[in-house]
Amino acid sequence: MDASEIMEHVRRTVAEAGELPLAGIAPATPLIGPRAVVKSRALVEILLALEEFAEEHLGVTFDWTSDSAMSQSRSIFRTVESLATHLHGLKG
Amino acid sequence: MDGPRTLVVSGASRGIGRHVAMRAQAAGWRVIGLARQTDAGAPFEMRACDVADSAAVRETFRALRGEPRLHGLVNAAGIASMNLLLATPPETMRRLVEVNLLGTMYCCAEMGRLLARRRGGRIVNFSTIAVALGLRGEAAYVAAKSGVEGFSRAFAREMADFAVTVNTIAPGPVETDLIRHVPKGQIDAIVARQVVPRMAEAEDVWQLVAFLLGDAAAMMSGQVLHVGGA
Repeated sequence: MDASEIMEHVRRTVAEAGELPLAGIAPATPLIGPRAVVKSRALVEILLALEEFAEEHLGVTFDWTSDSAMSQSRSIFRTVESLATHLHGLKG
Repeated sequence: MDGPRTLVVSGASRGIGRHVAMRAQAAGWRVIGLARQTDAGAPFEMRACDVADSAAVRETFRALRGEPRLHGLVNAAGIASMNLLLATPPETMRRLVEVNLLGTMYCCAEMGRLLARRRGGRIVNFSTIAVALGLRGEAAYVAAKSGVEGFSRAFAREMADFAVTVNTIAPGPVETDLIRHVPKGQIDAIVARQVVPRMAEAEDVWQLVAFLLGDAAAMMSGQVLHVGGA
């Protein structure tokens, strides 16, 4: 699975969990912070779904627990793109 | 989906955890008991896990992902130390917090992820009457168990979004190994301060666990319930 396919999957996952139109989910869509398009519950749902996706489709472990997880400046959850990039990077 | 619901019980090798595991098994649950050392004679499945070891807890719960009807967690693993704080070694304080508080938190976090995916479940944690009574000689133990109570109240709110309830049972003295070395006079004095001034049995605790695990308790979460009354 290449980077664009992972990006597309992340976009779909965010749209589904956040009950948002897919067309409104761009790479720059923020997932945390004051401009976040999803609430914390939906973010957890997104991460749970991506954890499963990473194992089943990428063959890697996506560990989303970290001290900086919800940090607005360092978190991999800043945007749809940062999350997709992190997942792609896990493939090595 | 058919088949029994699965219940994970930590501290299932003895005491309240053992009793809960056995009664749950008899009540039709598929029970997976966790303990540092497994017991081949247990009438339920046991898996080795030190709850104070976060990596071991993660590995143990990740292995449960395939359980089709995973529904409940009873965090009964615990240790106690009755001693004045001034006479308690730092290593004992650390171990009390690691097993009682961090162990509960590690198991809750891992099980929470599994239950959130399933959109439902039950978590029952354990505190002690010593917290409500502020018992002399149990400061370190009370510190750890107070942590469990506060943690559980906050965690209950986080898990409410996923229809997972989190409650804490805080029993008075129960005839188990945990209080075997406590002088009888001391136990009697604690029991006398309970609303119901008699020593509880493990079965009294199970009855409350059974209620909290059941469908009837869907609206009860974030509560601390005292067996014996405090």
